[in-house]
Amino acid sequence: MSHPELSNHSLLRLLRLLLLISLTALINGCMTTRVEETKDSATGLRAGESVVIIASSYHTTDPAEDAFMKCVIDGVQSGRGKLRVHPTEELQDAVFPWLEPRTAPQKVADLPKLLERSGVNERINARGIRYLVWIKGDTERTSGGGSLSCAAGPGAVACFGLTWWENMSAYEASVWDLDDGVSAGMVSTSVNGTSVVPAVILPLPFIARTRSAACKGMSKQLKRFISGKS
Amino acid sequence: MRNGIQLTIVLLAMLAGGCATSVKVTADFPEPLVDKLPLTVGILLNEKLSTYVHVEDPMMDAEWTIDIGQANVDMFRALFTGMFTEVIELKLNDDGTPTLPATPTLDAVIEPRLEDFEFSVPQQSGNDQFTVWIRYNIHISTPEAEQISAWRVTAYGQVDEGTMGLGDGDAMQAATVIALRDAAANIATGFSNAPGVRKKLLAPSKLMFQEKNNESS
Repeated sequence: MSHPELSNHSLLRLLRLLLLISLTALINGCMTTRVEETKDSATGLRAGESVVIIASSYHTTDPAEDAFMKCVIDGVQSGRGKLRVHPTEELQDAVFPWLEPRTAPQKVADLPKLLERSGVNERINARGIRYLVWIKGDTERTSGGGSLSCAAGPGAVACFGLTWWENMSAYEASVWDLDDGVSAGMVSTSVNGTSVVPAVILPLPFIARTRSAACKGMSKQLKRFISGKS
Repeated sequence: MRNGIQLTIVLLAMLAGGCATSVKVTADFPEPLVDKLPLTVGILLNEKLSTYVHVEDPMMDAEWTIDIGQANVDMFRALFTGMFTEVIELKLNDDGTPTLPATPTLDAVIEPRLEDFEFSVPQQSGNDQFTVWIRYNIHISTPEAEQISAWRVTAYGQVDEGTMGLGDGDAMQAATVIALRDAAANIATGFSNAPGVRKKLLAPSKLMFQEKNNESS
């Protein structure tokens, strides 16, 4: 038995839902995310073991921004499957000067040399640190265009036009296993997003937060990767 | 009219003063985790180094006053204590020479001199970073004031603007601390290879002593 009124009502609710989803997607901008990993050796954390997450050296690479580092550290040590993250600065102080930008190992082949230095391995072991995660990368504006102009009159401001830009956030995390002195693998994430600001009297910003999305992707994947559940 | 001009000048001065940023750099510097060199050294932390205040009014930004005197002292104390078996802090006499202790006999006198301090703020550089450069000249001499080395050490630190909710002053302080740590790292890892040091200070007998110590530890 059909109920035309009920059908119309359901249709209206469905349309509202679709509109809400579209608006949410629009407000967050349009983004595509890609997360990849390469595993070189088996991973996993025993009870009491922790990881240290550190920005790669600015002497030789493009280190991740401080805000991205904080976001990833927060992400890895919270939520489902969270890991124990040892404070980076505490380890840097404990083994000073061997993890400073000038002296830190640049590639996994340099890791055994670091661990052989007097007192370094002992201090790392005493803290239960199993993995060292180096993060590099950045967020860049790759293109943009359009124009938007605003005019102010007595008691009123109005804007007209449309402007847009595209951001690319690309980050890479190298995971080193300090137990075996080898590379455990690599996790990379790249997020491409377009932000748009149309204006008809009032500007409506639809911002693609690519760095935030990259942080979420990186944190989630690092948790899986290190815990051995990926 | 004249009172009005004076008031405007005072207000402008107050406004400019309000924009100026003053930073006193403080930090706990760790001792380096290196094999101590078997040397007894006297260190001279001169007045310029220990009271150094950098004042600069960069283009497109307000005046900065950065006090790194105490941070210099703390950094060099921790650094040299971790590098040598015995460290004695020396005082300067009125004639500019250091007061040497009767015992123990010093192997060398080390005097770090701050030669240059520079910084840039995001408004100047066009990126979002506070950056600091410091150049020291590490004067190493015998207790008889014969020069062993005058070793130039440069250091660099950078911090992103607005990191973790830091204000501009905090970001400048963090960048300066990173530069000071960079200087310490540079000195701790490069001292043995500084010009003249291996030949004139680290005599073969002492190197042999150090190598024996390293093997036994």
